[in-house]
Amino acid sequence: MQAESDDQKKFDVIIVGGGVCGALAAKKISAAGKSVLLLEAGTKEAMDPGQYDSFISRYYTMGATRGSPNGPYPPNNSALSPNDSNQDPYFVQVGPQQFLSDYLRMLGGTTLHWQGTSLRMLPVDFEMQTAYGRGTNWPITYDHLERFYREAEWEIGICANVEEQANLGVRFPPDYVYPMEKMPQSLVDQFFMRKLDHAEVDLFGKPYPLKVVSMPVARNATPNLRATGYTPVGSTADESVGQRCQGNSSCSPLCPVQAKYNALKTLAAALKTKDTHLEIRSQCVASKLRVNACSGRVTGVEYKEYSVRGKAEYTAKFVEGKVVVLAANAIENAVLMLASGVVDDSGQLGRNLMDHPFVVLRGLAPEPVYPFRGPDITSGVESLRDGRFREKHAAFRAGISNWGWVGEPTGSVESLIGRSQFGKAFREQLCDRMSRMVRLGVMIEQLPDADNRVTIDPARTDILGNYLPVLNYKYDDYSLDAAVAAIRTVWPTIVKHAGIEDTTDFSSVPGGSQSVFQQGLRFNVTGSGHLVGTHRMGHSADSSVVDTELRSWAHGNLYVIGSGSMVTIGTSNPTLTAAALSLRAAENILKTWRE
Amino acid sequence: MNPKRHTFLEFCVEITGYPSVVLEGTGVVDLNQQLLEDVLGSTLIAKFYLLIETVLALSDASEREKRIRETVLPSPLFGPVVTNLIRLWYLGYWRELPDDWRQMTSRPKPGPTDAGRTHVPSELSYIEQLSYRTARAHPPGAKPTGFGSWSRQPL
Repeated sequence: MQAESDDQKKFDVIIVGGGVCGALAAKKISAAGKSVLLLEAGTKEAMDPGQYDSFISRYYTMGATRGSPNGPYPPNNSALSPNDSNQDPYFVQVGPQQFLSDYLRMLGGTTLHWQGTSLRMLPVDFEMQTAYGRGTNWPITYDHLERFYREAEWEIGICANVEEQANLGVRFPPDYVYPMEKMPQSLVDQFFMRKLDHAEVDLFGKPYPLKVVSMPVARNATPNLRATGYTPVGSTADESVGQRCQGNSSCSPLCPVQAKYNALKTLAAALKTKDTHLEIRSQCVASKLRVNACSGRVTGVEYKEYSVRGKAEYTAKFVEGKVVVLAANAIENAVLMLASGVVDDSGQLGRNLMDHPFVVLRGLAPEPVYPFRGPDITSGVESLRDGRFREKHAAFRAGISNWGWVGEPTGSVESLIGRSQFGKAFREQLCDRMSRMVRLGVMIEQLPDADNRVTIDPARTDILGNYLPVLNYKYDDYSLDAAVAAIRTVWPTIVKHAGIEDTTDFSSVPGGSQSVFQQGLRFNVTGSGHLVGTHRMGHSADSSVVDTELRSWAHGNLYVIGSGSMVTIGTSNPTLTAAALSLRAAENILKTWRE
Repeated sequence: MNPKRHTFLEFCVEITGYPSVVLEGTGVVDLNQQLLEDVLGSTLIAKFYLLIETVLALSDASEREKRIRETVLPSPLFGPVVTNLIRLWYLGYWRELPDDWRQMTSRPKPGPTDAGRTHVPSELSYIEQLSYRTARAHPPGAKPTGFGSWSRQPL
């Protein structure tokens, strides 16, 4: 069915996707006076305070599936999300390994359930091929992006300490400060800082300290007195709420007070502007880009608007735009471009899908460290994010969890019940066990691999007839050897220095994980929810999908933004880099107009 | 007020290890008792109260503890019920009792809205679960401890 233009309005810019990248671009472009239409596949329920509260109620009463990041959000068969709480799988997994990460298709996007970790990439991460003969160099350097990192940090609202990041090799201009002071480090962090003060590991003949560093996060903390003019942004329901993180310990799957950044805040700010040029249409799933065969320009976006969440009925529509921006995330952007027959001479479209393979290590501290309090990650062992060892295996970092073990308190309670415990003894043993739980999440760099890819299959569609993502995915030796180093070298060193009782158990594979075998070691790996690659940027149309401005090589008015444009993943959670890239692209879009 | 409320509460003190003032403070005593009565039905709940009254009649705490360990928990009829009560208090949910328990008691398999199904009875059940309190923490998403509290010893 060929839909006609649903209205006479032609927009300057159409943005597909209402997550962090789409929101930041929408705000910046509409503030410059350009008319912007943002199309969101999911609902806008999170923007409604009553609905947001209903997610919290759902979270309280959902029982066993509570741990799932998408758990509290209503399942939506009209615009499926991976691993939501309904039973329909979204990804078509071809293998050989499963891609175990998810995202949320809803206005606000995955920032509704992200942890908020907002690290910059290291300068060397942009030049992996030159530095270590691995991966691919970016077509831009860290310094090209630095100013946009700052812009993103202020736009999103990051709390962090410049000196601690600079010590890791991150470059800042003199006198730069983050808008908010670093998040107070937890008692668990303090335990590790004390114990690992002199700890180091040997990797290929070179010693590396195990340095515990505070984590930059998108969460409201004390405004930095040197950062004049910054006020924390509270909840979209009530600005006076969420001015500080109050320690709900539920950042993922949701922050009840929205002290953690989500993209709704950026969208709300853009909509609040007097005579705003931003229009948001939710429940509108972009299904195809319409391309002028002669000029190669994208004329607009075909989309399917459904009126009832979860139903198959929809109205086919089309809207015209001078510029089209895809900001739907690495997997959705690739699916939409493949569905549209977008020209890609490089053959790279959909390829190089990356994530951070994630390994969980756990134990019992020799003394109470009182976890299950505060935001999940306030520090990490960050000193293995770079080193000569990257010639041999991946870099990694180990986030220190403040939330004890996965599957608690159920695991401990069931264990005590199984031993017929009750009464005061039960209470004492539960306290002793839970208050000493420590957990590290090792997040491992993954190299771009053309065989890790997103494709589409006409036989695999959702109820609206939109394509399901078909995923080929595997871990390579570069990442798995790093996992082995983390498990065999780093973790035992930490265990020894901290006096931890190691309770890591790879004998069974918990849900959401998969078992792998490397160097004689069997262990479990899961995903980090970090979607990278699929429309990489580059110097030429032969080797990349978009240019350094994130503009399609083949379609001059099509921009593809977000972490899908990243060439490598490094060891930083990609949202901040995706945000910086998106702000840079927005600036370039506006510059094109001026020219 | 339910005539057996005090009996129920005092028995919950024995199995949870928390004083009644704490259990009362959760606000879910009545909810939990009602749930138990609905699951067991009038005949079984009467037997259950008789059994726990024999425990509570013992004046010595260690005697009560011993009776629960040696008589109540090993009981095929009421052992699973008591462990479920511990779950209800500590984890805030009721777990469906096993098939062999149902066969023994001739209780019907609970339907999708029946008290006996696996479910979280109320938001308060989640919020007031004792496990996190026991760890000197709080349930995720509820009872937040305040900015920066995680960097200090719990109160």
